[in-house]
Amino acid sequence: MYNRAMTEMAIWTEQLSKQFVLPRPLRTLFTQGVRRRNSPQADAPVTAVDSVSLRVRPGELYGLLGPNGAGKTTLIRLLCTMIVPSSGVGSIFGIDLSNSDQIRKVIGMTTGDERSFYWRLSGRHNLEFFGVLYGLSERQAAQRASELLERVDLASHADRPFRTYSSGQKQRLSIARALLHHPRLLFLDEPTRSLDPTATLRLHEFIEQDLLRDEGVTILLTTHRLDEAERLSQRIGIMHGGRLQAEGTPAELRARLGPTVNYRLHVAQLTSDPASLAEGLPAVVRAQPSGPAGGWTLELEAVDSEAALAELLKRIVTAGGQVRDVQREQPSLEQVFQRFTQTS
Amino acid sequence: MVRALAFLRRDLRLQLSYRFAFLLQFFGVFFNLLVFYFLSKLVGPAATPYLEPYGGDYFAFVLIGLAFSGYFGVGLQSFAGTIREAQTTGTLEAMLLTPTRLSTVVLSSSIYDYGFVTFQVLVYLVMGALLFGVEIDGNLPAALVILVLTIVAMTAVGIIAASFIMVLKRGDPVTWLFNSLGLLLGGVYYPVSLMPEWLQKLSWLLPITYSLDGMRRALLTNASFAELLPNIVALLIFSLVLVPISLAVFRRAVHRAKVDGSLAHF
Repeated sequence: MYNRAMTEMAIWTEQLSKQFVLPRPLRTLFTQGVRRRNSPQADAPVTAVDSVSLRVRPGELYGLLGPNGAGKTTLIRLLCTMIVPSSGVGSIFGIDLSNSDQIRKVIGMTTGDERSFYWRLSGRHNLEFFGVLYGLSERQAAQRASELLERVDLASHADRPFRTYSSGQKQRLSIARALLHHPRLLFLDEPTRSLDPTATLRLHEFIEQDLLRDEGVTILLTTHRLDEAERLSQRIGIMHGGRLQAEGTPAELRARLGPTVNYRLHVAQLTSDPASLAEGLPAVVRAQPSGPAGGWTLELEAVDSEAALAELLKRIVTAGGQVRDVQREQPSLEQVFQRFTQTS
Repeated sequence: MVRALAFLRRDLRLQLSYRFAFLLQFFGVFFNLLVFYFLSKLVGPAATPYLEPYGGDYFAFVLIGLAFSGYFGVGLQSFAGTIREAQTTGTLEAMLLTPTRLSTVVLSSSIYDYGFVTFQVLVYLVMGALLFGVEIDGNLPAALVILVLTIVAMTAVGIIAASFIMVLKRGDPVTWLFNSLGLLLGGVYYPVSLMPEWLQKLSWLLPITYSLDGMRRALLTNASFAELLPNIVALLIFSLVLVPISLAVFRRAVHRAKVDGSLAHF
């Protein structure tokens, strides 16, 4: 059963876990002596990835969301064979994670870390060097480097030292490097971390048009940015505490919040505190002053929403306020994210 | 081979991007030679009994020591240095994401260093001959055999040192031990016979002692293969013992770093 699922999936993991044993302070060597790694007295390990069973289909862009320390980067490192899992199994296009040489031929990875290039070499020389490490001949590496520099819009900067590149250019070169060997699976670890809005938009277009549509590359994207995950991902997984708490399409994830409905109200001439008006209501009400004095924007989030809305409107009118506008909104991905990262 | 050339080209480009430092290295050779030339004037004939097996001239003796001790430095420090530098600059992780094995990365990264030290040796010998009148007309094939065996043995020691760096990140004991003991006991600046007998016995536990002794006798006194056989056999034994140990230790260190998740940490 596993074999078929493994080969059909770009990424397949079953109960994949990683625990780290943190180094003990030096003074404990004197107070507690030397402990063997697997002895009963050994320190409790820290679980970074906890029983993650993940399925990513070929050609899919899967967004992995999670707060800092959720285990996203550790999961990617496990899948890139940079670290060895403590338990569980996994495969990339049917290749077992223990076969690192084969896996690295089909994956590419890019991070927001600018340090992973030779700063005194040009972008072209960097790409040519890594191209050879990816198994290309010198001529192939040179050709591929030129081709990719063109595609990521760096051809005119190709022969300048890497250290002179802007953050956006460095990020684009990082993506070019990850594509040198035509990988089938690309890991994008927070690719827009240090980019301005224009560079972010260009990168999103590149991912959607060039990578997904034209090349059909499978992508696992990790990000903190909910808008980015929602725009690019077909499915989203939410990680917290090392566990995959929820996954699905953005619509499926919203549906998992239950019958929660949001309303946005614009109110004028309300002199009393909106928070006091919401007291006792079965709803979450957030208020922000807007416009001239007495103007407010209220956000109401409730399960039994119509009754809560009716009661709130009644209280506003009784308090002398004027309701100018009421809009019904679907729950945001932020609410979904908060639900799955706060309740666990 | 293609990968090895790519590393060589990378390192050459990086070195040439620091043009001034690149030039200074050659001035260093010249000043080193001058210092020891004047020292040799001071030493004079008093040291002749100790230097007799090597032709009797202190400057020629120390010239070979200076020139060839570079290989020990590269063997000892290049591999660990490569890993350490790649960890701190962040390029190690990028290289490890490629299908190129870590052992290839480490070995290929030392090619430039070995090439440069060879060039430096030639500069030492040519300067020594042309500017200071040292006569080098020895058994070159034997010197070459000793050199190759020295490189193999010291590469193995260097790989063990790199294994420590992989796990400990800083302060590997192997480099420290071989560096300190090599300079003290190996006969770089003075003949081993000058030391007390118990230190002499200790010095014969180091490959550098056999290497420098053999190299000097080959190049300065034209010693035959038969005369140099004990040195060659000793270096061969060092190589045969140290190479498999170093590979096993390196494999173990890589696995340990992958389990700890610290492969690219520093």
